[in-house]
Amino acid sequence: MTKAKVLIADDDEDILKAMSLRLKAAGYDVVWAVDAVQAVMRARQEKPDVAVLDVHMPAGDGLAVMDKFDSSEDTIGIPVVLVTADTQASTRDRALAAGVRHYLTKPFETRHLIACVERALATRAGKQTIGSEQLS
Amino acid sequence: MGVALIVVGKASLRRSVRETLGHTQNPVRCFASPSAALRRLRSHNPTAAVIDAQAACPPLLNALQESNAAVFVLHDSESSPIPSGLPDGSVNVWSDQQQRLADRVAAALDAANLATGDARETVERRLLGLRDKQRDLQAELEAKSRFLANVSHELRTPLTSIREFASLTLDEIAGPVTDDQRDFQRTIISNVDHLSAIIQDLLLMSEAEQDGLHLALGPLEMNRTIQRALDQTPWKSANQADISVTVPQDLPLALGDDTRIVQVLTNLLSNALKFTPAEGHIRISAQASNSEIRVSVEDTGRGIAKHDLFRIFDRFYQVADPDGPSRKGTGLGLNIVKSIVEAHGGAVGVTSEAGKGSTFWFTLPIFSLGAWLQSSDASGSASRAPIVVTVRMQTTARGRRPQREDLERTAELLKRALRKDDRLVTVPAAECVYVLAQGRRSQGLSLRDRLAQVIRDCTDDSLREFGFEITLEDPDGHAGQRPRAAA
Repeated sequence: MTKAKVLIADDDEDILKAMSLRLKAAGYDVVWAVDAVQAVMRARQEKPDVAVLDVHMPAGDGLAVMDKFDSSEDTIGIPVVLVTADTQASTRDRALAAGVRHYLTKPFETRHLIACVERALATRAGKQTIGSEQLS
Repeated sequence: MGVALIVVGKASLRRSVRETLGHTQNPVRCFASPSAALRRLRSHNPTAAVIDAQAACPPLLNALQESNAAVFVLHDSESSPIPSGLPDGSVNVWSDQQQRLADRVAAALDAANLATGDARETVERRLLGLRDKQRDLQAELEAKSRFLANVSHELRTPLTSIREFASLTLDEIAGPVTDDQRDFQRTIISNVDHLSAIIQDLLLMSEAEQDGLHLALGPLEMNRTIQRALDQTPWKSANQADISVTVPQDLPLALGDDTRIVQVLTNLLSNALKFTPAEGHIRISAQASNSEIRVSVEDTGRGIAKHDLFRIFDRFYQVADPDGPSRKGTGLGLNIVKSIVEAHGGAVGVTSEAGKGSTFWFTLPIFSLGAWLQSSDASGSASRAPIVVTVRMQTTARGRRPQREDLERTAELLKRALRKDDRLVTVPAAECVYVLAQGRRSQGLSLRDRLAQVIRDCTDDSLREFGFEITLEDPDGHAGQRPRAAA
């Protein structure tokens, strides 16, 4: 089985580096972007299995990137893990309203990041298989 | 608004005044007799009155003077004597002075209108001023809120880095670490966690202060919420009191904001851990009583003195520590517990005995679809009235007992119907899962249509084979029902 590919987008390079090390250690392929525009571009080129997006980024926030994903055939339906450093309810509501199901608040624990990525991947896989899955 | 002018007297007078003053904007009411005028005087509250001398009886004149109307009495010198007791300057001879009279009445009316106009202008100016001030305040509040969000962001981002790199080192991603290094990295991580908890508390308090806590209400399964709180409570070490959880299997769902209630429990648990020795015991329990769920965190710690009990939920209040002043904390924890619980419409309390232990408890309303639908969160607008879908699983021909997970997974399928901005909440009940969905029309299809489509697809799949039954229902039929958590 090929490694799942994760796109990570954050304007903080230290965080990108930390996430990248962590995801690679967990066996994922990692591509990264430092702003919204680059995130959309990388997603089109690399067709990641899941995207981890920071809410606050230059050139458009994580939710705007999700919108862009949905507007292109190449990137539609990429599951997204949204990461934010602000705990304001308004941000949480905005994310929930936009249909975000995987949401991490900084500072996050590594195991939560990996768990979120795994769950996001599972929803994607689940979409195709649930009808015929053997229920135990 | 009242009437500008009333006219009392003969038909010829009434007509004449109407014609003379017809060009002004002032509403005129005419009466044939003083008694008729008197009856309507209060409701008309006129600015001025023109009265025929014969109709100028004392009760009418007194009433007019009391209401501060300018009074003009018309006297036809040829037919009658001038009545006595009239206000100065109010007697006018009819016919030849008709024009002058009209001028004076008009001037009186203008003056009255001008006065009202001035008042109106002043009021309007002040209102505008208030509106400006309100806008400034609003902008200030928004700026403060933005500032807090920014500060939070600015603090949390480096904290994430610190935590992550400590954690990477600890996990030997960069190579082997010694026991001492491991210990140091753990100290870094635990302090980062402490610092972020403080930031979180400060932000929450400021949010509560600004415009009240914003709650995302939904059904809570208390045993799961407690489990999440246990997962998130920073453990000090192996050297701590043991924790047990007692939640009845059939405990009804609570109505609450999961994230916030986890925070309430985390705060209570951290306190209990802080004040309970390693050989002590902490017991978390939940039970239903009347229309409430009551959750208690009970410890066998050192207890709280009576004089502290009264103030323990106050902001910044900290119990003096006999072990020394080194105890970490902001004095916000219990105040935040109180704010969150009260925002839910619940209550908090504590009983304690020095030396024996403390029990902190809080209550939450029991979840009912009716209560949820009424909550501001759910009833955002009438056009977004929730749709109820029931996912039921019958025992199948294969003799397999339905699992709650099966039901929830099937409910998850319904999310395919969602578009941007739609909401969906799954409510586990004893023998089914309720799915409450809210959303607007999208691309010509209502949410109900989209759900129906997905349900058709689901049952066309092999789901029916497994005994799933999914039905779209009218929410009204459910209001007031009280689903219970699945066993």
